[in-house]
Amino acid sequence: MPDPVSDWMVERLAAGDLPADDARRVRAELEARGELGRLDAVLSANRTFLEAHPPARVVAEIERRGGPRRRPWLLVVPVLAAAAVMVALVVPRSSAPIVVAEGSDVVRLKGQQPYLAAYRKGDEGADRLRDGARVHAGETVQVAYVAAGQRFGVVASIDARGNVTLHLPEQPGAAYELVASGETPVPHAFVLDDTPGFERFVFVTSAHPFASADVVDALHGDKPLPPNLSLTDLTLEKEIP
Amino acid sequence: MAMDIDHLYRAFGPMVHRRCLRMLRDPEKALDAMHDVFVEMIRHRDRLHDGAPAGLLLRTATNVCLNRLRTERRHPEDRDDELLLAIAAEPDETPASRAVARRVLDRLFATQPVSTRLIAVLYFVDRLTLDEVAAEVGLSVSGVRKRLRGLQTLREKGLVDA
Repeated sequence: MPDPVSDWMVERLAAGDLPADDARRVRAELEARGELGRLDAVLSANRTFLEAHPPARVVAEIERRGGPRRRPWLLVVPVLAAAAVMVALVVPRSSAPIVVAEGSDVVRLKGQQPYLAAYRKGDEGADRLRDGARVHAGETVQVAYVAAGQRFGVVASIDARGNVTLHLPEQPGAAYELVASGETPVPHAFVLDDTPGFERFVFVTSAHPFASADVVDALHGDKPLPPNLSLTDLTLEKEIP
Repeated sequence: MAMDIDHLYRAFGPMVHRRCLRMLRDPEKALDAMHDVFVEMIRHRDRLHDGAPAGLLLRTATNVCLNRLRTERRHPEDRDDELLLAIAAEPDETPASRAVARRVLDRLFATQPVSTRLIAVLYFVDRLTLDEVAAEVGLSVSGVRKRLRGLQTLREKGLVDA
């Protein structure tokens, strides 16, 4: 006797994912076994789910988390030359990922957690840059954060040469007391320099005060990030023309 | 391939959510994970050439959930759950510290080998046949068998047959 029709095949049949011949075969097999009810159950569950989670709302959330979006250039902040914005922490190091202590509770945050957004100034407004977006030297980027209720935070970046830049706060010291809700730009947009590779932005947050040095040390690979801090990041890939 | 997220969600969103719910056992976490699965699809839209996206969505959802299970500490609800948590804890072939965990998902879209953890979930938890697993992951049946034989930790725990 042939193998039973797997739940996976029923899912694919219900979703219209099977080539026509396979779809006919699977349906015929279900009918021969008196199991067309399985297909009906999946189709009914799909309808119920989509009613409870309408596409317009879900797709908007998906795009907010990482899809492309254009919006007017509302971030009226001074655009300073890269040299003026760079904080004096340019110490060439290897571009290791941020060090996280083994077994720590540092978690990668997504969804309704704190996150970073980045925008590139374009001719018709600002383009939202998703994680992994390609950027070029000379482009102007504005980073913004959503604190999602976290009280203290640091926004920093590291490039492929290991140069670390503090964006919030702009000077070493205590972590910044964040705006609790909404999307808040860091103080200055900046012009990307010609260092090849990438620019990785990290947003480290906590309910309690901490030092920006904790983040800088972790980016340099000197020490792990303390376990009470939460981390999210966004990387822009630098394209050489 | 042009990506119409609205169409993809309507056709496969419920399936992805069911997949995440099965693995995470929590409707809110499953909903959150489902969103992230589609974000991964957007992120790698340039590299999508698949006219039958269900398999890619299944693999992506499985890996998104395995990564989340890895950091969870919960008591397994049943044997399948115990198996899933054990698979999630299996060391992956490729180094993946928390700091670079996201890059593991990139491998789904690159030419690197599919993870044995994914194969283990499809076979032991989803109970797909060897042929179905092979078709989903792009390996031969003997290749799938070989990977499954390598799951020493699961065998030692008695979670799968020797």
